[in-house]
Amino acid sequence: MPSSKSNPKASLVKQLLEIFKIRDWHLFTVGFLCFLGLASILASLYYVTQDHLKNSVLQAASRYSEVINEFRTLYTSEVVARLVPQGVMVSHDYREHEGAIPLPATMSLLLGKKLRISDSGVQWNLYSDFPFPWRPDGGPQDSFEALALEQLRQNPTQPFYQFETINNQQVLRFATADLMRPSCIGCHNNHADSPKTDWQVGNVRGVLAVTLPVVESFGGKLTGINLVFIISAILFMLGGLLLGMLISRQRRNATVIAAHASELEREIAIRKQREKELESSNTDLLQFAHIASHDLSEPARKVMAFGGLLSDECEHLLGEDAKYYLKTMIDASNRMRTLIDGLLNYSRVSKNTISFDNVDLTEIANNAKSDLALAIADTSGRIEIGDLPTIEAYEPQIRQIFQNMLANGLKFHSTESAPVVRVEGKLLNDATCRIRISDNGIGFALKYQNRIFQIFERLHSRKEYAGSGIGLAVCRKIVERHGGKITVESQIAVGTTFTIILPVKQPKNVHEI
Amino acid sequence: MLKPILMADDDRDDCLLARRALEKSKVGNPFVTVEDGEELLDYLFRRGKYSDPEKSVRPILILLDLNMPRVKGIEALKEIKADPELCKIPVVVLTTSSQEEDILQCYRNHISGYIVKPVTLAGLCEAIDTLGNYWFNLVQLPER
Repeated sequence: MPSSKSNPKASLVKQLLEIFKIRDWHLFTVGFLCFLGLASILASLYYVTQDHLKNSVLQAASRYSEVINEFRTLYTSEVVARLVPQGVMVSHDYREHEGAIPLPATMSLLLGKKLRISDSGVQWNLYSDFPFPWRPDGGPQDSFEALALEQLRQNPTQPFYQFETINNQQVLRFATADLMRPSCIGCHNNHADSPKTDWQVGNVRGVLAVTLPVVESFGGKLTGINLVFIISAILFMLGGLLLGMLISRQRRNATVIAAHASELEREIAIRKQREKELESSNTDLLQFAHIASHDLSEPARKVMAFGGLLSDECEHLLGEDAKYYLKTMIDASNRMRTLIDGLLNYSRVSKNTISFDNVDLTEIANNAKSDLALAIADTSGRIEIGDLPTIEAYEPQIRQIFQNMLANGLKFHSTESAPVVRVEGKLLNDATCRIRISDNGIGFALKYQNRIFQIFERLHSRKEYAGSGIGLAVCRKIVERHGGKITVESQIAVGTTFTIILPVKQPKNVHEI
Repeated sequence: MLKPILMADDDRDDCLLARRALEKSKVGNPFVTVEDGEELLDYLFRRGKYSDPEKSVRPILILLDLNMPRVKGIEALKEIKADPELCKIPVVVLTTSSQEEDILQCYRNHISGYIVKPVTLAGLCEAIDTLGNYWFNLVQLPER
């Protein structure tokens, strides 16, 4: 893509997004596996539940059948068998005859009707392919009943059942064979209305069909297992929702992070650009200062020298006024020369490549003191130098600091007392040292604290104190090039203390501008 | 006949000032000036208009400016010091530059002294006086 090539920021954003996409992919995989696991748990739970339910219903149905069968057997043996010898009439239409009792099958059907009325949901039916004529509904009523009869005739001991859905309700239809018992066979083979008279004991004479609702037999839909199932499903959905929210939040975060990153990068680029511009303009300025001061110093020197030649060789030709003008000219060009030299010096501090060596500051300070012997004698002053550390520094520049500082201390002395300049040093820690240069001079007001380090800044007139206003600016520049800091405290008529903090070691052995 | 002092400087004003300072001093040697390194070498190696030995008397001292057109002071210096005859002549650099590199480079090439051009006429006079006193009265130089 051309945009990503031309714009490194865009490619970074892309990379970031890609990283997050990969993370999303992982997330989706894990989420999908979770979904599969949960779904299979739910599915197996459902099947286990259904299985359990069907088994329970089957058991219940089988028990119903047994109970009904047992009831009929009991009724036949304990009631019918005892009353028939006493002449009691046993008939399907027992209500029509005085003192008659119902047939066992009729009794069973009555029980079935009763159960249906009691609304338990349980139904049962007794049917046969050889019904008595008074039972028009005695044959198989539907395909299940027909199929059950057929199956049971082939395999009488194996109950036949099917789960069916009737009126949106799952039901179990459970059929067992009704076998011809010894207590029944006599009646069935001899009854006047009997459709078949060659029954034998053990023949399948009919079917007992029980219908049980699958759910209702357990008393409602929210059974314990169903509840677990529903809660699991809800939890699963909530989990999915949570996952989705997390992913979308991460997406949002990724977008926000990417936006921040690109913004930061843009800012950094702008700053770097500005730094570069500043650096180059700074270099240009120093270059200009250097060249200008170098080229300016030449004519200034000429004015001075030829002024001197003029006053030397032609003095006798000049009147008093002319002599004064000439002297003013020479003085002015002398000052100009001092200023230019200072500027040249100042620009040189930054321009030159410097290399750091171990410098014994005590030695440097003592050298500077020796250089000032004349000024010390002139002012009857004193310079006291304590123990100073040895540090990594560029010797010519450090020497200049001490020369400037000590000279200043002597120069700005009060008229009342002879100047005393003290130099003290201390290692603050392994990495930093502090040099203090204090004097008992005239001092200055605190508000000038920062101004005195600016180039060409002077707090006194030339008449009071000579100078170019460059010395302290040079000092600050040198200290800063060494990675240090210079500060000043002063009190009028009490004195001034300069504090220089310098690193003991320089980061690299060579500094370039 | 006294050997001349040879000054190589493209700045005629400085040459004039030096001549004046010399005149004011006790030094009585003649003063010869050349405009640049090329002319200096022509003089010393007696080439071109200086082929006549009468016109190119061996100087007793060379005052050398560094920043000159065509052949720079340092280049001329190297040639002078490479010559077995000329290398005996003391060369004092008289320049406006006070740069450490310049000073170092000059001393590495066997100069006899390095003077930053004094700002005032008085300073220049003093310098010339000192030079004359030192080279012509105090130290011993080879005769030939």
